[in-house]
Amino acid sequence: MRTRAKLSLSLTVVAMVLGFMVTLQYRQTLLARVSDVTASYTDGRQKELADKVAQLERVNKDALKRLQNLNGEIAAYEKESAGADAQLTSIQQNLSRYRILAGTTPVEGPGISVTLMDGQYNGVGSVSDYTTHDWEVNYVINELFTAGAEAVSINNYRVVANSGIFCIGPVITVNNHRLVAPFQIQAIGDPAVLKGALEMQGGILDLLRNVEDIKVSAVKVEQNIQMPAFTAAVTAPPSEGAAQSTKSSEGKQG
Amino acid sequence: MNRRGFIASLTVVSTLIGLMLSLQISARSASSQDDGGGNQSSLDLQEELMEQNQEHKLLLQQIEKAEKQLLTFETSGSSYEDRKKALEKDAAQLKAAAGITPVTGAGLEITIQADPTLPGYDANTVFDPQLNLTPVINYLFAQGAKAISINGYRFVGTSSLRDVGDEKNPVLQVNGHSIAPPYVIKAIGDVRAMNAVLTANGFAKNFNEIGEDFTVQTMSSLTVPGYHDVLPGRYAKEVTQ
Repeated sequence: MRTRAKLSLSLTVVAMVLGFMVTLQYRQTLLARVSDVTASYTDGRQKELADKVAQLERVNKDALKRLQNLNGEIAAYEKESAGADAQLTSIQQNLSRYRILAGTTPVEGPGISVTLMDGQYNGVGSVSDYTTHDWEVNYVINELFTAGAEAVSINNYRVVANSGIFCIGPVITVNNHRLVAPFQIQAIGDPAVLKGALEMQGGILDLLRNVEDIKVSAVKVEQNIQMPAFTAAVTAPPSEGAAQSTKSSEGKQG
Repeated sequence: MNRRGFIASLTVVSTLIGLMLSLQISARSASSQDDGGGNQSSLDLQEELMEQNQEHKLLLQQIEKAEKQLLTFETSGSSYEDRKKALEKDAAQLKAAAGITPVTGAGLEITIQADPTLPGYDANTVFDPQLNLTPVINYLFAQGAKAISINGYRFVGTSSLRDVGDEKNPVLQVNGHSIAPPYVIKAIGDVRAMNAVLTANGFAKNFNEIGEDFTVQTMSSLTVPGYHDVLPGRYAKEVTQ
């Protein structure tokens, strides 16, 4: 009987120690999850990459500032060239409209803002979750342009309708988008018309709230929204392959 | 009594072991997700670096362009004719960039229309043009299409593709103009890349499955018209400083 008691005692001790270890392990894992980002940066290569990215970001910020100054100077010259002449002034005033259409200069004006948040997303999820978001964001943007929006941005990235599927920032290939919820969408245009178009009964926001199950903020009217220029190429650089493949498939054309 | 104690401790031990095992397993799966997350953020950084590099190149290109434009103004004379010429040159460049000028070049012409001879055709099913055509346009732009038009309307920075009809009678509007099938999409750009993305996404197959013909013609030269609708600038103003 004493051996049995001993056995029970030792088993209990072992179990307690193991239990303690497990708890420790679990807590460490939890901690690691929380500090996932910081942890991954401790890796040398990661840090190097992060430094490079930060450096380039600074360089690009300066370049953007330089571009803005240049555009300011150009605008001043344009105005000066037009002078007091009515015909030249009318050309000059259109220049600004062309640039706004192309999205190549920063703009400001009245409009609306709305924020889309994921209703269920909990930080794990699959890639397809993101894709759905882009589709939803795209849908809202389409609606805003339909309602006459003159300039649109998402999370302060200027968006132009002809920049490709996920239309964010400089990367316009389909799989390289980098948007993270929440998405703040801003649009410059007639605030009442834009607000009305989004909030229409059975409209896009109703659909997103009720069918797609995502959180949508109230549409806010803004007196003055500022947006940066679209920094991707307005016209894509010509591809070397284009001429060749056209030649080889000439027979197909009708 | 001893026997009972033994059973009790055994129960506790087994329970603890069970708990440990399950915790260990869940902790493992959590940490394996962590590893995934670590790789992910490494990929993210790579991607971000690529993006920043790309943005850098584009910014330099734009700066170079702006400097040239500025030079044109700086070096142009002050006579009326000189000033007019400088402004017109400026306008021509901007119109091309904005999509107001027609573009001619190699490209694709895609024709989409219902085809009753296709097995997937069903007279009762309504084709949703907004839902189905939007990805086609987007994928073409994502492949660097320089200019795209739909039934003669140029797709520009403020364009939209919207169904304004009802469930039974869809009416597609491009830039506010109603259009009807056949839908003809003209896209100028890298024909190989554009053809590849259409094939990779199985557009022809998917359209055929819902009874829509999707014909792609590769053209050595086609013209996409310029944009002729409302210009922005009523609400949006340029920030010049």
